[in-house]
Amino acid sequence: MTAGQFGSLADPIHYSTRNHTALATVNYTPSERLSFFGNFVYNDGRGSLGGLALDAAGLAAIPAGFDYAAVSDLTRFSALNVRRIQQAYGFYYQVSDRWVFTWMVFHGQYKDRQPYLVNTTGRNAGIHAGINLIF
Amino acid sequence: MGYDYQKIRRDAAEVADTETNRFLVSLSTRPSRSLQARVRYRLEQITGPFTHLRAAYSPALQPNPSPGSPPSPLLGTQYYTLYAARQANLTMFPSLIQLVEPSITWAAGERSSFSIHYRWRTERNDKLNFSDWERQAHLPGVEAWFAPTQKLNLTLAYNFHNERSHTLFVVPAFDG
Repeated sequence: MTAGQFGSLADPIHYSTRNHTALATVNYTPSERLSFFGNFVYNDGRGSLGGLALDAAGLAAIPAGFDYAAVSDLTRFSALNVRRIQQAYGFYYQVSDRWVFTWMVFHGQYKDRQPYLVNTTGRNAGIHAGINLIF
Repeated sequence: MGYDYQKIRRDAAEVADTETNRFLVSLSTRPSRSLQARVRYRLEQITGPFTHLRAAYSPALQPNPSPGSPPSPLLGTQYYTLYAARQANLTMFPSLIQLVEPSITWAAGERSSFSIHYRWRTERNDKLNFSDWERQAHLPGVEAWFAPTQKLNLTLAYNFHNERSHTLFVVPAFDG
Protein backbone atom coordinates (compact mmCIF):
# COMPACT_ATOMS: atom_id res chain seq x y z
CA MET A 1 0.00 0.00 0.00
CA THR A 2 1.20 3.54 -0.56
CA ALA A 3 -1.36 5.80 1.10
CA GLY A 4 -2.63 3.40 3.74
CA GLN A 5 -4.73 0.40 4.68
CA PHE A 6 -7.52 1.44 6.98
CA GLY A 7 -9.42 -1.73 7.78
CA SER A 8 -12.69 -3.05 6.42
CA LEU A 9 -16.36 -2.13 6.36
CA ALA A 10 -18.93 -4.82 6.93
CA ASP A 11 -22.68 -5.06 7.16
CA PRO A 12 -25.25 -7.85 6.72
CA ILE A 13 -26.89 -7.89 3.29
CA HIS A 14 -29.91 -9.84 2.13
CA TYR A 15 -31.20 -11.15 -1.19
CA SER A 16 -34.95 -11.56 -1.65
CA THR A 17 -36.82 -13.27 -4.48
CA ARG A 18 -40.52 -13.58 -5.27
CA ASN A 19 -41.59 -15.81 -8.07
CA HIS A 20 -45.15 -16.49 -9.30
CA THR A 21 -45.71 -19.34 -11.74
CA ALA A 22 -49.04 -20.25 -13.32
CA LEU A 23 -49.42 -23.27 -15.58
CA ALA A 24 -52.27 -24.52 -17.74
CA THR A 25 -52.20 -27.64 -19.88
CA VAL A 26 -54.83 -29.28 -22.04
CA ASN A 27 -54.76 -32.72 -23.66
CA TYR A 28 -57.27 -33.95 -26.22
CA THR A 29 -57.14 -37.53 -27.45
CA PRO A 30 -59.69 -37.99 -30.26
CA SER A 31 -58.45 -41.52 -31.06
CA GLU A 32 -56.06 -44.13 -29.68
CA ARG A 33 -53.36 -43.03 -32.10
CA LEU A 34 -53.72 -39.26 -32.00
CA SER A 35 -53.29 -36.83 -29.10
CA PHE A 36 -53.24 -33.04 -29.17
CA PHE A 37 -51.68 -30.98 -26.39
CA GLY A 38 -51.26 -27.36 -25.36
CA ASN A 39 -49.14 -25.87 -22.57
CA PHE A 40 -49.14 -22.33 -21.23
CA VAL A 41 -46.71 -21.09 -18.54
CA TYR A 42 -46.71 -17.61 -17.03
CA ASN A 43 -43.87 -16.58 -14.77
CA ASP A 44 -43.31 -13.34 -12.88
CA GLY A 45 -39.97 -13.10 -11.08
CA ARG A 46 -38.52 -10.39 -8.90
CA GLY A 47 -35.30 -10.36 -6.90
CA SER A 48 -33.00 -7.83 -5.33
CA LEU A 49 -30.27 -7.23 -2.82
CA GLY A 50 -31.01 -4.97 0.11
CA GLY A 51 -30.33 -3.93 3.66
CA LEU A 52 -26.77 -2.76 3.10
CA ALA A 53 -25.66 0.29 5.11
CA LEU A 54 -21.89 0.65 5.20
CA ASP A 55 -20.72 3.02 7.90
CA ALA A 56 -17.21 4.41 7.38
CA ALA A 57 -17.10 5.94 10.88
CA GLY A 58 -15.12 2.97 12.20
CA LEU A 59 -12.33 3.28 9.65
CA ALA A 60 -8.96 4.79 10.57
CA ALA A 61 -9.27 6.95 7.42
CA ILE A 62 -11.17 6.95 4.14
CA PRO A 63 -9.25 6.40 0.89
CA ALA A 64 -9.31 9.54 -1.24
CA GLY A 65 -12.37 9.80 -3.45
CA PHE A 66 -14.30 6.91 -1.86
CA ASP A 67 -17.91 7.34 -0.80
CA TYR A 68 -19.06 4.28 1.12
CA ALA A 69 -22.59 5.56 1.53
CA ALA A 70 -22.76 5.48 -2.28
CA VAL A 71 -21.41 1.91 -2.29
CA SER A 72 -24.37 0.94 -0.09
CA ASP A 73 -26.61 2.13 -2.92
CA LEU A 74 -25.30 -0.56 -5.27
CA THR A 75 -28.14 -2.85 -4.16
CA ARG A 76 -30.49 -0.64 -6.17
CA PHE A 77 -28.83 -1.85 -9.39
CA SER A 78 -29.31 -5.51 -8.54
CA ALA A 79 -33.09 -5.45 -8.89
CA LEU A 80 -34.51 -8.10 -11.21
CA ASN A 81 -38.06 -7.78 -12.45
CA VAL A 82 -39.03 -10.02 -15.34
CA ARG A 83 -42.06 -11.66 -16.89
CA ARG A 84 -41.93 -14.76 -19.05
CA ILE A 85 -44.73 -16.38 -21.03
CA GLN A 86 -44.12 -19.67 -22.81
CA GLN A 87 -46.63 -21.55 -24.93
CA ALA A 88 -46.38 -24.85 -26.80
CA TYR A 89 -49.00 -26.62 -28.91
CA GLY A 90 -48.73 -29.82 -30.87
CA PHE A 91 -49.73 -33.43 -31.32
CA TYR A 92 -48.50 -37.00 -31.04
CA TYR A 93 -49.47 -39.53 -33.71
CA GLN A 94 -48.71 -43.19 -33.15
CA VAL A 95 -47.68 -44.42 -36.55
CA SER A 96 -47.24 -48.02 -35.35
CA ASP A 97 -46.72 -49.91 -32.10
CA ARG A 98 -43.10 -48.74 -31.89
CA TRP A 99 -43.05 -45.41 -33.72
CA VAL A 100 -44.59 -42.10 -32.64
CA PHE A 101 -44.52 -38.92 -34.70
CA THR A 102 -44.42 -35.61 -32.80
CA TRP A 103 -45.06 -32.10 -34.04
CA MET A 104 -45.02 -28.95 -31.92
CA VAL A 105 -44.96 -25.19 -32.32
CA PHE A 106 -43.73 -23.07 -29.44
CA HIS A 107 -43.53 -19.38 -28.65
CA GLY A 108 -42.05 -17.45 -25.75
CA GLN A 109 -41.99 -13.84 -24.59
CA TYR A 110 -39.53 -12.47 -22.07
CA LYS A 111 -40.01 -8.98 -20.70
CA ASP A 112 -37.25 -7.30 -18.71
CA ARG A 113 -39.23 -4.73 -16.73
CA GLN A 114 -36.23 -3.21 -14.99
CA PRO A 115 -33.23 -3.36 -17.34
CA TYR A 116 -29.79 -2.37 -16.11
CA LEU A 117 -26.90 -2.12 -18.58
CA VAL A 118 -28.63 -4.56 -20.97
CA ASN A 119 -32.33 -4.92 -21.74
CA THR A 120 -32.93 -8.65 -22.03
CA THR A 121 -36.47 -8.33 -23.40
CA GLY A 122 -37.06 -10.70 -26.30
CA ARG A 123 -39.06 -13.46 -27.94
CA ASN A 124 -38.40 -16.95 -29.15
CA ALA A 125 -40.40 -19.15 -31.47
CA GLY A 126 -39.89 -22.48 -33.16
CA ILE A 127 -41.30 -25.57 -34.75
CA HIS A 128 -40.32 -29.05 -33.69
CA ALA A 129 -40.93 -32.29 -35.57
CA GLY A 130 -39.65 -35.66 -34.47
CA ILE A 131 -40.05 -39.38 -34.67
CA ASN A 132 -39.72 -41.47 -31.51
CA LEU A 133 -38.86 -45.15 -31.27
CA ILE A 134 -40.36 -47.05 -28.33
CA PHE A 135 -38.32 -50.10 -27.31
CA MET B 1 -39.57 -42.02 10.45
CA GLY B 2 -35.97 -42.20 9.47
CA TYR B 3 -32.44 -41.22 10.37
CA ASP B 4 -29.22 -41.12 8.44
CA TYR B 5 -25.68 -40.05 9.10
CA GLN B 6 -23.17 -38.75 6.61
CA LYS B 7 -19.52 -37.92 7.05
CA ILE B 8 -17.45 -36.13 4.43
CA ARG B 9 -13.66 -36.07 4.76
CA ARG B 10 -11.64 -33.69 2.59
CA ASP B 11 -7.92 -34.05 2.06
CA ALA B 12 -7.27 -30.60 0.62
CA ALA B 13 -9.58 -28.13 2.33
CA GLU B 14 -9.44 -26.04 5.49
CA VAL B 15 -12.62 -27.69 6.76
CA ALA B 16 -11.56 -31.33 6.66
CA ASP B 17 -14.62 -33.03 8.18
CA THR B 18 -18.35 -32.41 7.80
CA GLU B 19 -20.85 -34.56 9.68
CA THR B 20 -24.59 -34.54 9.02
CA ASN B 21 -27.32 -36.06 11.20
CA ARG B 22 -30.61 -36.17 9.31
CA PHE B 23 -33.99 -36.98 10.88
CA LEU B 24 -37.15 -37.54 8.84
CA VAL B 25 -40.77 -37.86 9.93
CA SER B 26 -43.64 -38.39 7.50
CA LEU B 27 -47.33 -38.69 8.36
CA SER B 28 -49.93 -39.72 5.84
CA THR B 29 -53.67 -40.13 6.36
CA ARG B 30 -56.68 -41.00 4.23
CA PRO B 31 -59.81 -40.04 6.21
CA SER B 32 -62.03 -40.93 3.24
CA ARG B 33 -61.68 -42.41 -0.23
CA SER B 34 -61.54 -38.97 -1.78
CA LEU B 35 -59.27 -37.16 0.69
CA GLN B 36 -55.59 -37.67 1.35
CA ALA B 37 -53.31 -35.59 3.58
CA ARG B 38 -49.61 -35.81 4.16
CA VAL B 39 -46.99 -33.89 6.10
CA ARG B 40 -43.23 -34.34 6.05
CA TYR B 41 -40.67 -32.88 8.42
CA ARG B 42 -36.91 -33.04 8.03
CA LEU B 43 -34.23 -31.83 10.42
CA GLU B 44 -30.55 -31.77 9.54
CA GLN B 45 -27.81 -30.87 11.98
CA ILE B 46 -24.46 -30.31 10.30
CA THR B 47 -21.19 -30.14 12.19
CA GLY B 48 -18.37 -28.44 10.33
CA PRO B 49 -20.21 -27.25 7.19
CA PHE B 50 -17.91 -26.28 4.35
CA THR B 51 -16.63 -22.78 5.11
CA HIS B 52 -14.07 -20.33 3.77
CA LEU B 53 -12.06 -19.69 6.91
CA ARG B 54 -10.63 -16.19 7.29
CA ALA B 55 -12.26 -15.09 4.03
CA ALA B 56 -12.60 -11.33 4.64
CA TYR B 57 -12.52 -8.44 7.08
CA SER B 58 -8.93 -7.29 7.54
CA PRO B 59 -8.31 -4.87 10.42
CA ALA B 60 -6.47 -1.56 9.96
CA LEU B 61 -2.81 -2.41 9.38
CA GLN B 62 -1.32 0.77 7.98
CA PRO B 63 -3.12 3.96 9.03
CA ASN B 64 -0.39 6.24 7.60
CA PRO B 65 1.22 6.62 4.16
CA SER B 66 4.20 4.37 3.40
CA PRO B 67 7.70 5.77 3.99
CA GLY B 68 9.42 7.60 1.14
CA SER B 69 8.73 10.60 -1.03
CA PRO B 70 6.68 9.82 -2.95
CA PRO B 71 5.44 6.94 -0.68
CA SER B 72 6.97 3.65 -1.77
CA PRO B 73 4.64 0.67 -2.34
CA LEU B 74 7.56 -1.63 -1.54
CA LEU B 75 7.80 -0.29 2.00
CA GLY B 76 4.06 -0.40 2.72
CA THR B 77 1.77 -3.26 3.73
CA GLN B 78 1.83 -5.97 1.07
CA TYR B 79 -1.23 -7.79 -0.32
CA TYR B 80 -0.24 -11.09 1.30
CA THR B 81 -0.09 -9.41 4.71
CA LEU B 82 -3.56 -8.01 4.08
CA TYR B 83 -4.89 -11.44 3.04
CA ALA B 84 -3.26 -13.18 6.01
CA ALA B 85 -4.94 -10.75 8.43
CA ARG B 86 -8.51 -11.55 7.32
CA GLN B 87 -10.71 -12.50 10.27
CA ALA B 88 -14.25 -13.34 9.18
CA ASN B 89 -15.28 -16.88 8.22
CA LEU B 90 -17.86 -16.93 5.41
CA THR B 91 -20.01 -19.68 3.99
CA MET B 92 -23.27 -20.46 2.22
CA PHE B 93 -23.62 -23.87 3.87
CA PRO B 94 -25.91 -24.26 6.89
CA SER B 95 -25.34 -25.88 10.26
CA LEU B 96 -29.10 -26.43 10.69
CA ILE B 97 -31.81 -27.19 8.12
CA GLN B 98 -35.52 -27.64 8.77
CA LEU B 99 -38.14 -28.54 6.19
CA VAL B 100 -41.90 -28.81 6.66
CA GLU B 101 -44.06 -29.92 3.74
CA PRO B 102 -47.80 -30.47 4.22
CA SER B 103 -50.12 -31.33 1.33
CA ILE B 104 -53.81 -32.22 0.88
CA THR B 105 -55.36 -33.85 -2.18
CA TRP B 106 -59.09 -34.08 -2.74
CA ALA B 107 -60.50 -36.22 -5.52
CA ALA B 108 -63.87 -34.58 -6.07
CA GLY B 109 -64.96 -37.37 -8.41
CA GLU B 110 -63.56 -39.66 -11.06
CA ARG B 111 -62.86 -36.72 -13.30
CA SER B 112 -61.46 -34.01 -11.05
CA SER B 113 -58.97 -33.58 -8.26
CA PHE B 114 -57.54 -30.65 -6.32
CA SER B 115 -54.29 -30.44 -4.45
CA ILE B 116 -52.83 -27.81 -2.16
CA HIS B 117 -49.33 -27.92 -0.77
CA TYR B 118 -46.87 -25.78 1.11
CA ARG B 119 -43.14 -26.07 1.65
CA TRP B 120 -41.23 -24.18 4.29
CA ARG B 121 -37.48 -24.53 4.40
CA THR B 122 -35.09 -22.72 6.68
CA GLU B 123 -31.32 -22.97 6.69
CA ARG B 124 -29.06 -21.28 9.18
CA ASN B 125 -25.40 -21.17 10.11
CA ASP B 126 -24.87 -19.47 13.45
CA LYS B 127 -21.35 -20.86 13.94
CA LEU B 128 -19.63 -18.06 12.04
CA ASN B 129 -17.51 -15.57 13.96
CA PHE B 130 -18.81 -12.24 12.61
CA SER B 131 -22.34 -12.75 11.27
CA ASP B 132 -24.91 -15.48 10.87
CA TRP B 133 -25.79 -16.85 7.45
CA GLU B 134 -29.47 -17.61 6.77
CA ARG B 135 -31.81 -18.64 3.99
CA GLN B 136 -35.54 -19.10 4.30
CA ALA B 137 -38.03 -20.15 1.63
CA HIS B 138 -41.83 -20.40 1.48
CA LEU B 139 -43.40 -22.26 -1.45
CA PRO B 140 -47.21 -22.56 -1.42
CA GLY B 141 -49.00 -24.01 -4.43
CA VAL B 142 -52.28 -25.36 -5.77
CA GLU B 143 -53.12 -27.76 -8.60
CA ALA B 144 -56.41 -28.73 -10.20
CA TRP B 145 -57.08 -31.50 -12.71
CA PHE B 146 -60.30 -31.92 -14.69
CA ALA B 147 -61.41 -34.40 -17.31
CA PRO B 148 -64.76 -33.12 -18.69
CA THR B 149 -64.84 -36.08 -21.09
CA GLN B 150 -62.78 -39.22 -21.45
CA LYS B 151 -60.92 -37.65 -24.34
CA LEU B 152 -60.19 -34.25 -22.83
CA ASN B 153 -58.30 -33.27 -19.69
CA LEU B 154 -57.01 -30.00 -18.25
CA THR B 155 -54.47 -29.18 -15.56
CA LEU B 156 -54.20 -25.81 -13.85
CA ALA B 157 -51.50 -24.94 -11.34
CA TYR B 158 -50.12 -21.97 -9.44
CA ASN B 159 -46.94 -21.85 -7.37
CA PHE B 160 -45.40 -19.04 -5.39
CA HIS B 161 -41.78 -18.98 -4.28
CA ASN B 162 -40.63 -16.44 -1.71
CA GLU B 163 -37.02 -16.70 -0.57
CA ARG B 164 -34.72 -14.52 1.47
CA SER B 165 -31.04 -15.07 2.25
CA HIS B 166 -28.79 -13.12 4.52
CA THR B 167 -24.98 -12.89 4.72
CA LEU B 168 -22.13 -10.55 5.63
CA PHE B 169 -20.93 -8.05 3.01
CA VAL B 170 -17.35 -6.83 3.45
CA VAL B 171 -15.41 -4.07 1.66
CA PRO B 172 -11.69 -3.64 2.39
CA ALA B 173 -10.53 0.01 2.61
CA PHE B 174 -7.05 0.63 1.25
CA ASP B 175 -5.33 3.10 -1.00
CA GLY B 176 -2.46 2.42 -3.38
